[in-house]
Amino acid sequence: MKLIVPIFFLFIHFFSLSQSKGFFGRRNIIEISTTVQSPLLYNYYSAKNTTAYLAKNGALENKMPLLNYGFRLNIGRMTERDRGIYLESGLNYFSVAPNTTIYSNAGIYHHLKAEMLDVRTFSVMPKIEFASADGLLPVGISNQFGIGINYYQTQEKNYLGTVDSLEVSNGMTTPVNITTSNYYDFHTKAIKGYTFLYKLSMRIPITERILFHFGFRYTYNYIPSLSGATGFSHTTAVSKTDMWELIRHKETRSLITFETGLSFCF
Amino acid sequence: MRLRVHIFNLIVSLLFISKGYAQQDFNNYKTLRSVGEIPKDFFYSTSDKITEQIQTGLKKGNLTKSQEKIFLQGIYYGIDELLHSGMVIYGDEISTYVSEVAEKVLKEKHPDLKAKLRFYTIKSNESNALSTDQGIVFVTTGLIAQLANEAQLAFVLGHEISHYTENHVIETFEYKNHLKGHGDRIRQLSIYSKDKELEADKLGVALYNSAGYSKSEMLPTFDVLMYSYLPFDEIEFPKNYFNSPYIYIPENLFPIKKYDIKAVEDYDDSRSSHPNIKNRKAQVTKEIEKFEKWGDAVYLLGKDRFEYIRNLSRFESIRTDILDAQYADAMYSIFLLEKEFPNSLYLKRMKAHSWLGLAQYKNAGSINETVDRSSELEGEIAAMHYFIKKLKNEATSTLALREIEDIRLTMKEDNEMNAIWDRMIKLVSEEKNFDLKKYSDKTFEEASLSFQKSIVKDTTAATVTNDEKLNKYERIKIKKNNTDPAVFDSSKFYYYALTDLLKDEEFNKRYNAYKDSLHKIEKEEEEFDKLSFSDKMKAEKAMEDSLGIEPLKLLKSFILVEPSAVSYSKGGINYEASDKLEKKYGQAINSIGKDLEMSIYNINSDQLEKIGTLGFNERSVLTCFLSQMTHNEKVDILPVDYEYLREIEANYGTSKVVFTIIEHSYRPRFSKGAILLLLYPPALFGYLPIPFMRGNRTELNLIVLDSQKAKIDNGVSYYFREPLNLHILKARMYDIFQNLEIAK
Repeated sequence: MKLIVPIFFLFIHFFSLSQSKGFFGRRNIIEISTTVQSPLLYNYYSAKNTTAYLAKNGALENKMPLLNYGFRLNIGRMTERDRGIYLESGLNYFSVAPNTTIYSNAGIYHHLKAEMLDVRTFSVMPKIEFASADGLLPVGISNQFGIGINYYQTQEKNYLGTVDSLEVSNGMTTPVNITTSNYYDFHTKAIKGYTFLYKLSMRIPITERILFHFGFRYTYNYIPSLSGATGFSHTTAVSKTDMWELIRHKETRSLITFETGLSFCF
Repeated sequence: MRLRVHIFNLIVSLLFISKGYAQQDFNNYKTLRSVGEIPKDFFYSTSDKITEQIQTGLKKGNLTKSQEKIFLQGIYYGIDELLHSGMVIYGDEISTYVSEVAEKVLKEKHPDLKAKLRFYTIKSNESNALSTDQGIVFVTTGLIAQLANEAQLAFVLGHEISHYTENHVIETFEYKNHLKGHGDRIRQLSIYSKDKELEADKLGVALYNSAGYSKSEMLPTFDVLMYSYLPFDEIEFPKNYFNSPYIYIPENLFPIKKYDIKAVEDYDDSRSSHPNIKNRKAQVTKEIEKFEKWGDAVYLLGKDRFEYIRNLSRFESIRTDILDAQYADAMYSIFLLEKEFPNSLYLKRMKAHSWLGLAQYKNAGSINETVDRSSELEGEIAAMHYFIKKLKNEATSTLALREIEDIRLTMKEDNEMNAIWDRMIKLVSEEKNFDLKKYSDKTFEEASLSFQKSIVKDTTAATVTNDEKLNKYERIKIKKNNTDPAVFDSSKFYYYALTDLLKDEEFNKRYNAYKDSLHKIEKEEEEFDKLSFSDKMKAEKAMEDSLGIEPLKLLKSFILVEPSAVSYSKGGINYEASDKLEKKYGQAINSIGKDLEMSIYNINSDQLEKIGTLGFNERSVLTCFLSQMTHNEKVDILPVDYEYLREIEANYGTSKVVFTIIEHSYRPRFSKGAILLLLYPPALFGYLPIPFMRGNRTELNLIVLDSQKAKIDNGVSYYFREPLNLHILKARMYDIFQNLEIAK
């Protein structure tokens, strides 16, 4: 039977189904996800890994955060068997390391150790979703495209920072130990950026209402202008432009993110 | 003495009754069905059979664990596929007869072996017998139809049983493994296989001899095998066979020459699994000489019994030909059997089926699927193939209509015949060239006589028919207008074949109704073509809406035949995964059916123990129904098991039959272009998830047949890429059942 039946079907011209939508007839969906991204590549290629520091027990430790994470909430509706529309909002958390060697006007280089700056991104994004012609959304593999807005906000807390060494321009170095628990001075406003998304997603039902999903987000984040950037005004070592440039630098290299969570159909 | 005969007859009758069958009346023949308790071979699951065999161990062989698994899977899944193909029957008269002949063959040398063997019949026109490592011996109806006597069957069985006793199947498997990596494997395997065949022949001779059969019947058995591709008899097909008061077939439609039979004994067998006939005959001749004592029996169970069994096989061969759309072969077999059974209603029905099929295939431009190519023509049957091939579409349809009408007139109350008749009228009404206006109200004979008279009259009057007085252009004109009474075109013989039907009220009513309906559709299509794009869209929408309300309804009750699943892994079919998927798939269909309050009647092989022989027979008929319906999608075929399907409809209260199969594999495929990503390695991380996520490939096919209307009601074919779990299968089935619209 296993081999005979497929042969029969080779000769059959099938009719197409009429259009139906949804999972067991349910067309609306709410998705809760967590996103995880490894910044290793970013750090490796941006050559910042050697001087990134995290605070641990009141001291700085030369260490990288292994994962950046975030949360997403999607509300969607299947308009056709193979198409859907969504509104996504989410929070992302990541850290950036400041420049550690800063040139001063006096011809002196300050070698700094500074705790990485935590940044939170809030995003809003309308999305469209496509599946193959035989797709049965929201089940299975799908492709999502979206264009949205990101708001970047640095996280307020007491960051640890030390001046590790002081190097004079003629090559002579004098070690110093200056530690501050309020390295960055905050009163920053969020800045706006744009995000372009392609997501390859897989949803696997685990009950007749709930689906487990996972997928990969391919994003390009663009911060067009830093003219509105504020903050860091009292930090002698790090200019506000430098910091926002670092965030922009980081974001344009945050290409792939893994996402997983649960979808609820109703 | 007379009393003894009566008692003997009574015992024989009781024996037959206790088996659950009575002798077939060939005039009212019904296709053979399985009888009695369903054997374990048919309902025991394949995986359970393999597990049991692993526990008991193989009879012979020196295989590693993994080789043993491959061997058992190959054997058991292959055999079970055959057992469930709808072609195999058990407990029927042929299987019982074969079993009894085997008992005779084994009684001297292996008296205990008979109890271990099971004998089943395959409804196939291939002449073949085969034995398996599990002790199953299959014999095809095609082989029995060709045999000349019981002794020949005994020799074939002796040969097959020897394959079993000598464990040739496993030995050949071992040898195949041993050959891995060697040069010309096929040639070496052929040599090995031929040795095993000769060994089976040799041992078969010993068994045959011990049973007391005559040595004179051994060598002719090889002739049976050699010529088995020809019909079961070689009788000249008369050129006037189709002639009747209503129709005359010109002889020039038949071949002038005879087609030679090309088979030879000494063919090149260097790459065959079997030695050629010459070598086999030579060895058997030597073996015969080794035995001093020979019996003289040609029949131990009686000549009448053998001939009865052979006739069963021959009647079955016609059904098989029609199932396989081999209508020319079926017609020739009917011609052969008609001599012995001139009043057989079954043969008449099968002849009508064949004519309908031929006309349908001709009309669909697929006639080459049903007749042999010129280079393949051999023997007396060549005349039938040649004739059918030479008939034009219009002539075929007319002749088919004529023949079907003639048969119907002899059995007007027969439902099956009326269904064939109706389908034939539908066909001619749809045929472009078929126009009743072209048909004469005179028969060929009347027209011919009238023509003769006109010639005489014209000659007497010395009028224009004198061709010599005409110039070239006048002659052409006359020929074109066909006004010359001297031009009686016998190639248009079929225009005189429907004189009675032209006047038949019922025929005209049905013909015109089909024609009107066709015209209506054509007119609608013409009008639709004239519409602008936006109007076409509107019209389509309106049509969809109206269809959704009126003539369509959702599938609510059906017979589900064996939802099938195949799971592929790297090495091919993964049988264990397939079994699991099949169970899950069946579970999903039934679960959703229940949720949607559908009535699903399952006819599955894993339920055969419960549904028994009745269910097994129904499953076989429905499988054959599917096979016939899907043979050629352009042809609107009428099922050969017409009456049996009515019984099934009555049993289940539905005429909807669903077949479905799901095939799944997981193979991530990497694009060749991906190699360019090595130029920028981080991009690989972006690319890698894609092939893995898209690695699942699932194809789901489902077809709904209506046995009453004998048509495909609807079907779906899905191709998707999600991994399969129960919920996904359920979601898919929910979607299908909620949306599958079928005709009322």
